[in-house]
Order: sequence, then structure tokens, then C-alpha cells
Amino acid sequence: MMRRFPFMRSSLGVAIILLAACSGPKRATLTLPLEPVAYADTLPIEPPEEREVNEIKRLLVISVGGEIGYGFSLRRWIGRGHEAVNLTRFDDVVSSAWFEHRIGTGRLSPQEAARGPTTLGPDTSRTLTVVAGKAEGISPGFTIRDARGDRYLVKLDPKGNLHMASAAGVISGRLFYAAGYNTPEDYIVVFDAARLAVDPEAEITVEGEDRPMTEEDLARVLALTDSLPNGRYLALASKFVPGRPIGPFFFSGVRRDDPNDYYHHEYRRELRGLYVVSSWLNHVDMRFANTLDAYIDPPGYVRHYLIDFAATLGSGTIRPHKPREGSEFNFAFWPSVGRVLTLGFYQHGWEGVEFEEYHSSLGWFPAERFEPGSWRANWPNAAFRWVTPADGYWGAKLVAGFSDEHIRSAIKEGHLPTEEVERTLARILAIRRDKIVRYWYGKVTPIEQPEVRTLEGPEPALELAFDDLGLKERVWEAGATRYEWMLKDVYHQIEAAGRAEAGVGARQRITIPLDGLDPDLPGVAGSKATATLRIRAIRGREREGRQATVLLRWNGAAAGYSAVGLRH
Amino acid sequence: MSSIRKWLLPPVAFIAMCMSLDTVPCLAQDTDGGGAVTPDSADAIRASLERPPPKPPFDAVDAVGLPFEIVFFPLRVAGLTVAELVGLAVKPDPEPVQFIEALKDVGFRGGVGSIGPRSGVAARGGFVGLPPLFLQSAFSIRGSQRHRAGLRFEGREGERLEIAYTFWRNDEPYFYGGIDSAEDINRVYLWDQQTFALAGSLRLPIRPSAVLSLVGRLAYEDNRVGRGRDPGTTPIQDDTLTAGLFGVEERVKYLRGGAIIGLDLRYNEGLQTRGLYIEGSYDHFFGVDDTESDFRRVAVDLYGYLPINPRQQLALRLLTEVNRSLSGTGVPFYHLADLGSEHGGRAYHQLRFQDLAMAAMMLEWRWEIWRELHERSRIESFLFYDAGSVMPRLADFRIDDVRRSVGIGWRLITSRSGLLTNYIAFGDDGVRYRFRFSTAF
Repeated sequence: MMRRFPFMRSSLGVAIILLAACSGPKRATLTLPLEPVAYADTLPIEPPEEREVNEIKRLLVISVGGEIGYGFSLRRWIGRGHEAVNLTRFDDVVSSAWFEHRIGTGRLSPQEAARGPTTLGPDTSRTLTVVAGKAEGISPGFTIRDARGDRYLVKLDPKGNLHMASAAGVISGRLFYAAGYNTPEDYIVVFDAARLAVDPEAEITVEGEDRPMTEEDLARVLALTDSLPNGRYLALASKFVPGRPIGPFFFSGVRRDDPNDYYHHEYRRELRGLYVVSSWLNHVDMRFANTLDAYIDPPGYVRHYLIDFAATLGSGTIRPHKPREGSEFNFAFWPSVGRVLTLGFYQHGWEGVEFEEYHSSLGWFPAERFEPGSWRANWPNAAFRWVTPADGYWGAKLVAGFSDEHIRSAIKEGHLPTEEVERTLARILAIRRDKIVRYWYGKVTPIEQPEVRTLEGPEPALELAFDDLGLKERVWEAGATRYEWMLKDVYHQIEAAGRAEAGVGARQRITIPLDGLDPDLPGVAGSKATATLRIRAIRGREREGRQATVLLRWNGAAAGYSAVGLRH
Repeated sequence: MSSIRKWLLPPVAFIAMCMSLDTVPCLAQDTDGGGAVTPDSADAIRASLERPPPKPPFDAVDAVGLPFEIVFFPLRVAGLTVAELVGLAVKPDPEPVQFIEALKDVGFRGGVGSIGPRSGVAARGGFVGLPPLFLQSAFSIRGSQRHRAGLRFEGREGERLEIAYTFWRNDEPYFYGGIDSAEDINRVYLWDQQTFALAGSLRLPIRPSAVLSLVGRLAYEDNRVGRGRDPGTTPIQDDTLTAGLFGVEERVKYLRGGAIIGLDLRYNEGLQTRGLYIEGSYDHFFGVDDTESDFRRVAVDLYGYLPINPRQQLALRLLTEVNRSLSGTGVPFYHLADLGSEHGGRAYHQLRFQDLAMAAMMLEWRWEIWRELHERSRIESFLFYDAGSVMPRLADFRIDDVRRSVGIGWRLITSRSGLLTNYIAFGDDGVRYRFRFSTAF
């Protein structure tokens, strides 16, 4: 009927609109954002090709081209970077091939954090077959196959810094895993050189060329590190990740041959939040070359790994970190421009810092000098460049999840030489964690778990309850905290604003009068909200962080609101 | 029907997948061998998903920022292009690498650079696969050539003995009139020089950081001048002022003997050269066959590097050269002392000023703008001031004749690949921009 008389359809539509317009005051609603789908990036795909990347070229392109784009970006000038896109309505991510909620659940024990992704580890009681060698590059080492047939990449500490890179690799690997990222199984191994046997098929890379590996080659590689006092060797053994390696992932764009790779990486919350976790662990080498995509078949999807944590904490892999690391990019375009223009008299803060090695097994790992907001990896990347306060806060929540006990348990896995060194490292990590929490929690209004209920009485009112993580983590005192709030209900056409003092404890309650509330209005269903409640925490005299927004929906049957979303 | 599938497929697929996955909640796997989610059926699932857009939509800030993006787009493209080129230069893509590796395997060594004043960019390559024999050839985009072949014997302490034949063809400019010459590049000539030379050198370490080097050289050289080939210029033979110069028409042959003594007190700390280097040379040219000309040349070159701190430095070069005719028709014009470009005047063309003698000073304020973390390379910027002159005799030096250059540049210094220099200079002839694979000092 309608098909035959299309004008009738349009006329009917006009009539409905007119009827709606005449039926009373407009009851507007807000559309809630769509949410990411948990299983969407683990659907089966055709096997992707392994990709090889010209590392230097790509790093230069990112450092020069990317930084020029960033430097002249209007968004950067006005401080209005895009927010991440893969967010739930409560400002979180869903578990995926990139990330799994672990420490963030609050249920990860220190023992589980220490265990990380590990299982059995290499069998060092029997012969370890060397199947490949690498005599050059930043970090010499070799690949072994143990009696169980598992393959591990073995990396050695630099001479004079026994434990440094291996402990950093294992400890940080555990902490990144506990934070939620995919990491390989990394172990500290102690072995006799006599247990190593070079496979007749083994090859070694020397001056960029592969040739058959000999026992002498192995001896040369071992000579690049110090042995333990008992003559045995200590190293980091990193188990090959499951699946087929298909090259690194980048911190921007998507992988074209992976249809599951949907969100552009620079807008992924996990990768932006990774900036904060990396700053905590001083992972200055967080770049695409230290990532790996693996094709997991079955069922046939790409899992995204972080690999190689030897350049974390105080370790620069082949030497201790330098004061510059963590403060400035390896190729910092704009500071370099500044130096050009000032004839070299401009100095970045790190340039006056005296190098101080805390211990040969720790390297350079500053605590008091650490500034969470200005920390830099050695190379820029788009995801880190555009971190917003909400991203930083999300990452800081992960870091805040690590108790002192979690940290100590993970450090134990690094087999550092003395307890004093372990305590020093734990103290540094705790100080850096607390600085991160103070900094990023101060950038937002750190509220979580919002709940609302309508208070009965002569005057209708709304009670909003929430956890103030700033009070929960004891960053601020309740006595010095108050909240400004502003309610805008487009459905009931209510606008109100006010202030409230913080109460005792982390769980806070604010009462908001609802003048003009019509309890008989029908409810709103689906992906709709009806009101926004903006809250800003004021700590002392400082209006530091940006406000949080709680999205509310009117529930007609219960004649009350429910919280259906949260943005920081 | 399609809407039913749209709503049912995701939850069904999700339940099917979540039942047997070994990690996280999100796993796609068939549970009983039937109804497996395949890559093809997964496409349909993905297409049916309602989720946030893959990147933020274009908004008002993007709209306002678009003109900025357009304005700075060329700069960004330039930056990306430079990055691509440098990246490829430092680490070429695998296919060219394999080709270069194959060439290296057979003893080939190559590079890119200049081989003369007007040569333009030249590609050079050499064969060193059968020591002590060596062969080198270079061709430039402007047709200049340089070829060497010979035997080279090297000792353990740096001593060297070399017997070589060299052929050099270069298209060069000549600016008539000494220090008062005008910038008129329309007089050019093609200079063919063949040299048979026997040279020996010694390095005598005085201290670990100080080396005295001695070089002795005996050569027979044969020079001929032809017509420059650039169609937009005037060959030297066609200009009444220059046609009669000694060496234009004559084939000039010399037996040449000389020595160079150098005292090297330089040392390298953190890719920054420090210390002092002084070099003096003496050459005597005896005309042979029909060449009625004997002359001698004395040159002194001094380099000083004074670090202010690890990032800033004052560097100085003083250079002088005197040619003196001993008998006959004098010094051929192509053997005159010269001033210009990296030889004392960066705001001027190479060979811009020529006469029997020259003296110049080159001063640089250098400061580091970048250093690679692993200390393998650094970039420094430099402000420079060059001042120099040419004259018949050093005693004729007049401050009013000094030609000055000022400018700014940057220099990439790597422990492996050598140097890359880029500068802009201002002088009496105007502005000059240069990109070079070497440095003045």
C-alpha cells in the first residue's frame, strides 16, 4: 500500500511530527555512545603476512614528520586532543586481543602478579641446544631449545652490570602483564656453559650476515657478559610467544590485513594508557620494534604483545640509562629547534643532571626527579603524544592497583643480587607510583562506581554516591576536598548547581535537590540518557582537574534515576 | 530477515566462541565441529556489529585547524621526505641491501660525492678485491670523471707506499682578475690531468694522542685544457682576457716532487673533535718536455678546536698558500692558489678567486643540537665567519681586499658514515646554499 502510494507515507510522517509537536513540551533525551564489543577482535581471520619494517626509516618518519604534524596541530595548541574511541559507557575498555583486566579488577594477588604469564620455564638441568646466535647489535645473545623442545631467546647482561638488564626484563615483564598487557614468558636462568651445545644447523649473524655458528662464536658471545662467582652464567630467557609472529604493531593506524583491527591505534585507550605504565617502569624503549603481533591459530586471530623489557627501570640494555632517557626523545625535533635558535645555550632540565648509578645491577632510575607528565619514551608515538587526562587517569588507575606487596613480589622474580638492592628498587617504584597517582588523579575528578537513588521526602532530591579515588588512595584529605556539581536534565527540564563538602571515607554521597521533577513521567529505554551530572573535585584551593560527567537515565517505573555512563 | 540475523548473529557467535577459548573472554572457536566461525562468516559478524567509530569524527576543531594543516602540509611532506631518504641511506630496504652486499662480496666499494669544482654529484666505485691492486672510478652528472689505478702497500704502523696512475677530467670555472674579479661564471674549461705518482707516507706516534705524519711524493703530471662543455657558458679560449693565459693552449708537463708534514694533536671525545692539527706542504714543479716553467708551492693549514663544554665549541682554521715562479712562463692558471667555498670563503663559488698567493681564516661557533643515545651520531649547528683574500704575494695582503662570508649550518656526524653538512652563507656575491658530504674542517 505504502509502496504504491509513496506520498501517503510522507504525509503520514509529517502528520506524526505535527502531532508530536502539538502534544506538549518537548522531552529531549541524550544518546549514549556505542560501546566496543568484547569478542570483536578475536574473530577468525585469514592468516596475515609477516611484515618487515625498516626500523630506522620508520623511526625517522615518526620523529620528523610526526612531530612536525604534532607541533603545528591546532588541537595541540588549544589542548583539545581527541579522546580515545574504544570506551565503554563507564570510561573503560573491554578485554580484547590487546588487553585483559588483571590488576584493575582488584583481585590479582601479589603471587599472581609475580607469576605473570609464566609456566614451567626452561629446563636447565639437561642440555640446552643453541639453535641460533646474534653476536652484534644492541644486545648480543642466542636462541636455545631446551629438552622439552621449547625455544627461548637468551639475552645477556652487559659487562659490569650483571643482573641489570635481565632483572629489569623479568620484573617489568611481570608488571606489564599484571597491568593487563600481553607479554612473553620471561625467566631468569642460571646455567653452566658446559650445558650449552651448538646445534649443527645453528647460524649466527655477524656483520649483518648469517653463517654457521661454532663453539667459538658461542664463547665470544658469552665473553660479552660477566659470569657469576661460581662460574655459571645468568641471563634472561624469553620464551617464544605462542602463534606465528607476523611483525610488530604500530602505535597509529590499523593493520590492513587484520580485519579485526578496527580502532585506529592512536585512539585506543589501552595504548594511550600504556604511556603511564611505561612511565612508571621507565620503559623508554617503548616503540613499535618492541611489540609483536602473533597469529593465534586456532581460532585464527592476531594477539598483540609487548616484548623485550630490558630497557626499563634503570637499565638501558647495554648500559645504565642516561639522565636524558625519560626526559627527551632520542631525536627531539622541537628541543633541537630550540637549541638551534639559542646557539646551544638553551638547556633541557636533564642536561645539568649528574649521572648517578644507584647500583651496578640497577643502573640509573630516578625517583625524586621523576615527573609523570613530562616523561618521554626515547621515540615519539602517536598514541602517547595524544594522551588526554582521561587516558592518563585510566593508566594511573592501573599503576595505583599495584600495592607495595605486588611490587616486592614481582621484584623477587628478578633475582637481584642483594635484598638491599631489592628494597631500593621497591622504594623507587613506590615513589614513582605515588607520583603518577597524584599527578594523573589531579588532572581529572577521579570518581568511580557512581550510583544514584531518589530520596523520598517533602522535597524530591537525588543522592549520588561514588568512590573518590583521590581519597581512597589518600592522595588528598577529605577535610580539604569539596565538590562542585551541576545537573542538567533535558527530560524533566531541570537545571541546578551547587557545592558539597566531602564526607569521611572514600565513598562519597552528594544530595542534589530536584525542583521541578515530575515523578509521573514515563521512563526512557535503550541507549538513551536523560540527564548529565557534572562534578568537579576541589582540593584545598585548587580547582585542578577537569570535571567528571555522570550520565543519568530516568526510570519511570521506579520513579528514579539510574547511572548509565561516566566520563572523566 | 536480515534484521533478525543482525540481532541474533553476534550473541550466538559470542556464546559459541567463548565456550572454548584459552584466554580472555573473547575467543572464537567451534565447540563441536559444526557451525565453526570461519573468516568468511566472521566478516558478516563484523559487519553487523554496532560499535564506536574507528576514529573520532571530523569536528569543528578539525574544520578550524584544516587551514593550518594545509599551510604546513609542504613542511610536513618535506620532513617526511628527508626522513625517508636519511632512513634509506642509513639502512636501505632489503632488496638494495642484498645487491650492495653482493657487490661488496666481490670487493666493490662505492659512494657518492663531488669530484671537482663543477662536477655536481658524482657516483664513485672501486675494486679492492685483489690487494695490493686497486681500481677506482667516478662519474659525475656533469660529465666529470676521475679514475685511479695502482698498487698500494700498507704497513702495520700506518706506513704506506703507493704507485698510481690518475686521470682526472673536470669542467672548471675561471674568474679572471684575482680578488677584484666579478662573479661571472661564463668562462669555463675542461681540464684533463694525468698523473703517474709514487708516494710514501709514515705515521710516527709521539704520544697516544699525537701523531707526526710524513708524506713524500714524486709525480709526473701531464695537463691539457679543452673547451668547457656547458652550453650556457663561454669557453676560456673564446674570451680575449683569458685566451692568452699560460696553460690555456699549452700542454703542460711537470715532474713534481714534494713533501707534507703534519702534526696531529687532535682527539675525539664523544664525536666532538678537539685539539690542534697543523700541516705544511712543499711542492716543486719542474717543467719537462716543452714546458718552460718551474715553480714552487708552499702551503700551511692549521686547525684548532677549543671546546667550551661537551656541547659547545669554538673552531678555527687558518690557511695560506704561496706559489712562486722560479723560471719560464710562470704558473699555469689552474695551479694558482684559490679562495672560495670550503677553501676559505663559503659564500663564494669554489675557485672563485685565484692568484699566486692566498690567506684565509675560517671561524665557527659550534653547538650540539642532537646526540644519538648510543653515541653513534650527533648533529651540531654552526655559525661561521670566513675571511680571506688572494694576492700576487703575501706581502700584498690588504685588509680592504678581504672577502667575507657569514652563515649558519648544521652537520651530521656519525661514527660510521662520516659527515653530512648543510649550510647557508652570505657574502658579496649574494647567498649560497650548500649540501655536502664533507666539511671544511
